Amino acid sequence: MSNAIEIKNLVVSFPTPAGYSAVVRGINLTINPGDRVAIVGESGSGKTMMGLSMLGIQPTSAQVEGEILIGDVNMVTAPDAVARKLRGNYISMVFQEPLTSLNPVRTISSQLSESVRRHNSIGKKEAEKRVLEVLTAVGIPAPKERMKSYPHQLSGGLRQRVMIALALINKPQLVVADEPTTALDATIQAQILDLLRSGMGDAALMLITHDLAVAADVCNRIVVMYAGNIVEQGPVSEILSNPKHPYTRGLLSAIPKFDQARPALNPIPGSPPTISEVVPGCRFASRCSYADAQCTASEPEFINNIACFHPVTGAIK
Amino acid sequence: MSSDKKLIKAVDLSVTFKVPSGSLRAVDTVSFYVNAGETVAIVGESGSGKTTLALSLMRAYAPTSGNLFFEDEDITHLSEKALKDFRKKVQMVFQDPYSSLDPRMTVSQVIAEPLRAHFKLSGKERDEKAGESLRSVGLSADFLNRRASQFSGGQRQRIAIARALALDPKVLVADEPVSALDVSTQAQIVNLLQGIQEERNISYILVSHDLRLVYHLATRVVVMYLGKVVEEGACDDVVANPQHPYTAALLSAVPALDEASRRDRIVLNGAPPSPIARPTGCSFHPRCPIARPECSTNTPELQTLPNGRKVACFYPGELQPHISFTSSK
Repeated sequence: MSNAIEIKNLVVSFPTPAGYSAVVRGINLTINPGDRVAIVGESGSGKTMMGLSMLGIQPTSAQVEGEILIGDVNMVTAPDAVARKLRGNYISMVFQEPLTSLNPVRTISSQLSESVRRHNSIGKKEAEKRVLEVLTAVGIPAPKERMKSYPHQLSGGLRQRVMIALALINKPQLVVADEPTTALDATIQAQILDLLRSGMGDAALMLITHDLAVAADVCNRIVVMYAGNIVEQGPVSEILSNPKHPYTRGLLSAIPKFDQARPALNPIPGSPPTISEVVPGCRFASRCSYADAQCTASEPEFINNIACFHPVTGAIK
Repeated sequence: MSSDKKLIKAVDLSVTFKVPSGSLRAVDTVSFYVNAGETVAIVGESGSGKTTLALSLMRAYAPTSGNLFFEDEDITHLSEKALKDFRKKVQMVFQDPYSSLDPRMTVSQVIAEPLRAHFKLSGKERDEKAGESLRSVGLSADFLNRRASQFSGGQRQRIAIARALALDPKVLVADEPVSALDVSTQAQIVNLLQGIQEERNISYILVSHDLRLVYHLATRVVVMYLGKVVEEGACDDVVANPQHPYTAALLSAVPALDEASRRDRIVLNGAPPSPIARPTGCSFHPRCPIARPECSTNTPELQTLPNGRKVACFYPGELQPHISFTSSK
């Protein structure tokens, strides 16, 4: 297979009193094997809904259109039985809050073995061997003893390592991680970011985050989403040193830095449009200092890694 | 500008909670002060006692031992009635504006509630004051009759700040005031808090895990680990030259925009232990990259270094993080 996943013109919408409203508005994205791609966006940008749709586990009220291609399977139209074979095997997911994603009344070992045995016809003994292997690989100390633990007996950091082990156990091609460190403390976050950066084996990683610094820390490519669209993408160094979309630039200059002069932060005025809000033209125009009549008249297409009529160049002040 | 007038001062303050397995000392013999007009940040991980300390500085928890002063008056054991004036002068902004505002109340009711509790005002006077407070946080007084649920996260946090400011407090305790907000709106609230401080010379006690935000806002910083202060000093100095290995590790753990910081990152093993089963000696020694045998038997006291920095470590300054400072000067 040439790429891990290919998304073509993905639209995810939800019913509202005024009809269906799209939270993901026509996304195209390809992730190559071994890639580490960060999807950066604020709440409501559609980044989580895109991630869930890739596994076919979006809320039942969601309407998904377009193509999500894993090999020759389109996850959008694939029958349940086909999608289930890929899920947890070819593509898996790590969620934000490990305590609510793990089964509280089953041991770590039993939860991880279940996933191995569902996708491989192997015995209990062999499955447990694989569990031990993967728990060791994700850096869980005393893995043999931990296998017998229940989720509540582990710390937050260890629980997230178990989640990552669960995602990796069938050697998937792609792991989708949705804000995997947001619920963790600073020093634990650093441990998990290390693991995501260099402990994922051959799996490609799609990291969903609101934090550009977390994205830069782990990934080699950044995709910036705003109000349902991809507005800019590029290699990490390019996005950080030479961002072209006014929104990406705005995000970067809004974060406080270790700057001895402590310059005032430059906030982006206003707030993102709500999902049912009809916005003519570019969805960012009302908050953009570069916007003109063209921006409110028509929506810019995503061409050459950016969706903007007035890309900006030069360093951020 | 900040001055040396101590508004809130805690001396050897401890707060203990009863738990099934005994007692949990969430705040352990902490001394703390905040001067007029300055911002003191309390940093640490969950379980460090930073929020409990902030709340006990407001006398939301009664201290188990130690003393608490407000403008030199000992308020440790004052009755709730006698505390009324103190309550007016020390206000709080919470982390999550979705749960700290009653969604069914109008904005005017939200802001008028503290006014009602502390002043005898006519309805009209209250509305005027509420409108004034709302304008001071950058919102139009036209919003007074709308309900809190109609606003975005950033706007709600502005309303929560307006409520806190309505009583014209001298100290504002802000517990993670922007961490529940979207990145693009966080900066709006940060700038607002700075503007308010310049205008009113109000003091901030900032509880936060975000060290870049702390560096941006605070004049002094207090680092806590398992209920104890492990380092304290001027924010510039602490970040540039941390003395405690835990402070160094916290700084090093900040997700970095540059590669050098990532390469030389200090990654601690394990997680903070439970405050119920506190390690012997220095509480930090099981995770400390530079711990020596004595660290597991002897407890380092918080000592003051010649440059005024306070640190509780036998080997101060030995571990240094790589931090890339930028300078826009």
